Amino acid sequence: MPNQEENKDDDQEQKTESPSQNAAESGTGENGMTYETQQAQDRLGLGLKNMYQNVLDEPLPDTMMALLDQLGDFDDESGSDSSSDE
Amino acid sequence: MSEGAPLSDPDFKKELAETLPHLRAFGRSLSGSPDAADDLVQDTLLKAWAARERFVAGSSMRAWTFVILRNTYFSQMRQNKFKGNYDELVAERILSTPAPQQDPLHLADLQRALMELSDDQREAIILVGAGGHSYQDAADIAGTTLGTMKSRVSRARATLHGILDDGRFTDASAGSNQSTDTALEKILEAVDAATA
Repeated sequence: MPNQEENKDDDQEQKTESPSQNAAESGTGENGMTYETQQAQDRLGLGLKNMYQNVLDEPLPDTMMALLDQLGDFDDESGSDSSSDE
Repeated sequence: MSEGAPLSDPDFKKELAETLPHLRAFGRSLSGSPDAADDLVQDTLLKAWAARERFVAGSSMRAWTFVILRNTYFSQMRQNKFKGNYDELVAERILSTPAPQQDPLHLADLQRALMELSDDQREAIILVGAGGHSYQDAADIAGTTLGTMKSRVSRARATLHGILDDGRFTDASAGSNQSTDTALEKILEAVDAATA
């Protein structure tokens, strides 16, 4: 389990370091990236994750939960022999 | 349970329920509209339920339903159902402030910038950069190759940096069906509002 976490982190780092165009524009640091470029990538990366996480944290709308509940009801009417369409 | 056997209906529904928040997050960032995204999610639920016997127990319900959602979205996109739907975002929501000398990143600016990307690139950066999927998972969901997915994510990042960090649009946003002038004006307005 801890290994999975580490792999995730490694993966994230590789992803954020991949674009090199910006570094070429504004001068290149020791690791191929300027401080500003790294900051810009952090800002974008964090923004994308937070955008997504914000929605995950929202409560689900009642209509959606109701639809989920009703899925079985639809099936009772028309899909009792649900194996027939494969 | 044997390999390839479908889940029981209650188990299927349970896994479906667990993916709902992810479907909403994927749908909203892809379409740029909370309401349109929730409609998409409901369509996805119905389609997934109808196709539930094709879902293989033990495989990823999230990936499976993401394919349904993105196929539904792109199909509706081609019918122009999603044009200009992103105005209703909460414009002032701040997403990240990594350094004191940087302007905070607002949700509306990021979402507008995402809408400037081509559909392929927007999907790619959302799956990998926002949703945390591996490149391979993202490639499978988008129905493309690993190499193409990596390339799309890389180009999407470069374009987003061009828009968000320099306040300008790059050639890489070509292929978007939206007028860059209009979007640029909107972003400049948002910047003005944020700094006023």
